[in-house]
Amino acid sequence: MVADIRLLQGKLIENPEQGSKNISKLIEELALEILTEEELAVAAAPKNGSGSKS
Amino acid sequence: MNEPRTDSQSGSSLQTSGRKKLSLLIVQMGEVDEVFRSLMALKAIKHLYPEVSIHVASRRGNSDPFKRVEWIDSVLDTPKFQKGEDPVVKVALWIDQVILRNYDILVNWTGDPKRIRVASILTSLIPAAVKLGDHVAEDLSIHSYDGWSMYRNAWAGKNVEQDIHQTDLITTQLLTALQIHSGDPAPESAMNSVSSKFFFKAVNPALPAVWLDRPKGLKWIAVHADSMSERIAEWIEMVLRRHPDQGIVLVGDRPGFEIAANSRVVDLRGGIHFDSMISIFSNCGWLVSGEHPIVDLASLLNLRIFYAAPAGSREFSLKWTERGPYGNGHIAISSREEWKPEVAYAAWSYFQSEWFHKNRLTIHGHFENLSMSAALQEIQVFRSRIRPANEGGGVSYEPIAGVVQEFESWIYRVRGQIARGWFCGWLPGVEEEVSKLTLSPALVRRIRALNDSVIVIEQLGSQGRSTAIALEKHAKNMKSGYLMSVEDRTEIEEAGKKLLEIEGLIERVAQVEPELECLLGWYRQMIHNLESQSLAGMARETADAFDLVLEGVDLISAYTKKTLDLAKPKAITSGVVGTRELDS
Repeated sequence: MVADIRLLQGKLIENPEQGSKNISKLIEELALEILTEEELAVAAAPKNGSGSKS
Repeated sequence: MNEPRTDSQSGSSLQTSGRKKLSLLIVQMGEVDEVFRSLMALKAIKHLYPEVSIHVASRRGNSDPFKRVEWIDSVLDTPKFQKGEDPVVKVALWIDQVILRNYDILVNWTGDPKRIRVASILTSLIPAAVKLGDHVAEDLSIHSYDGWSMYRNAWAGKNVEQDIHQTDLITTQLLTALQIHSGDPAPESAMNSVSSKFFFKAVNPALPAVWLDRPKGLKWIAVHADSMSERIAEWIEMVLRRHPDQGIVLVGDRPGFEIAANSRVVDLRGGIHFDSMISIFSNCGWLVSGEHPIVDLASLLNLRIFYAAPAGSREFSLKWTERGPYGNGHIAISSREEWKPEVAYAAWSYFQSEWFHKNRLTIHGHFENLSMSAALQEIQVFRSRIRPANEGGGVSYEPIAGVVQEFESWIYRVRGQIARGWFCGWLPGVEEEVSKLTLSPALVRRIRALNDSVIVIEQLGSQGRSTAIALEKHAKNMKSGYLMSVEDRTEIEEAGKKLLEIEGLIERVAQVEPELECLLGWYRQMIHNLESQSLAGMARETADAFDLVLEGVDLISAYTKKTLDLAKPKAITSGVVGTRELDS
């Protein structure tokens, strides 16, 4: 027996434009996460620069 | 007649199919291995639903492969901060770019534990009519919107061995959602192949001079040295000595080991650009590599892979199969201890000469010819295969030779089938599956031992389910979810305690029989993702969670029964009892 369709269809968002209740908190956290990652990437990058490498 | 059509050509026929032209946003904040797996999944999606528009949100620096694909409509990179800029304002403006895009479906495919949080925040912030994957819930913890994502977190992301590849998992997740929201794929779309050979936009990369000046007329093997044992140098020497028609191109980030100067070796270690790598791969017959994103790239480009499977948490763990080489004909070697060049050479040379011996020589015979038969007791050799749709589709790794771990392979397959039963509604005949097994007394004994615990979990699951249903019924009869009589409160508390007690008992069974810990993990994942705000709703969802656990238990029982039936003595003609009694 296949699982309830609710598990397969994803979450139907009633008012997509309404957004999350925690919007400012989430944007702040996202900015911090991206910034931290960028700082870490800069710290880890070799001095002569880097590109898309494999 | 079957020439691949461009998107613009296919668009006209699809308008007549009456399907909605949905826009998809893929959130992929993981590393490049996940980027390549996402591209593999998107290739299948575009193949079956060519009318969809595909947009991607990805990390700057890792998003280049998405930008090289013509049928990806847009790529949203994470923002780059300038000195003195307010990062919060910058991110808010960045999010604003997509707020009004009105995506129909947003799916978060990020599985990298280090990036799940960022990807989940994005998933929560970007509006879409339907969402799949992990997101940040109102209580700021990470939840999953759909069953496949819960499965990924409960099993695939944990130490549970199961036979569904990550690429197949995300592909099936999105294809199922598209089927629900857009309709069945049009039969004609099967012709709209998205060619692998030209997967990425044609560019003319500046190739290293040492590669351009390579000896002509050789067949090339790309070797990713970083992901291999240092003893790969010995393997390379064996290949160079015995195969004068082969050349080696070394790729990877670090110079690593030294290799004697040889005109048939081109050393490109130290990093080459993505576009150059694609061009070099198009001139190679094999990639030899351990676990690394280059394996996912080679899979995408249909380059045959000779893979050194990474060690897992147990000897000959099958966990690597979730991220192993994808496609037909790749070879994977799993080793009991360290990777040995002579053993790897014996295996590779067998498959390299397949065109010559045309399977008239077995791999065992080949190892024997090299006086290496004993080595097969130290390794497992697998060949990848894309299963036909009537066998469930997706990649599988078929054991070709080496150590057989009967029970581990059996439960690994059964777990994958449980997920297929849960989410695909498709299962092969258990009898047919079991009939392929080679039974041994040890396997039969192990399955019997497992069955004892399965029976207990079945009883506990049934009790849990009826307790949750009784709780739902009781909650529904209450006038308010907050104000209640003392009797109601006591009854609810009792039901809650019983559910916790049942969970505790299932945990104890799983401690005795760790192979069943996956069922507990699944139950807990479902409970973590309860959505309802009401007691009755939560009780209903708890009953549903037990239902799925019980379905899993049913399937294990079906496999157990059929396997044990097969081991029973069989009457053959004239009533003589057969000799297939295996249990001692």
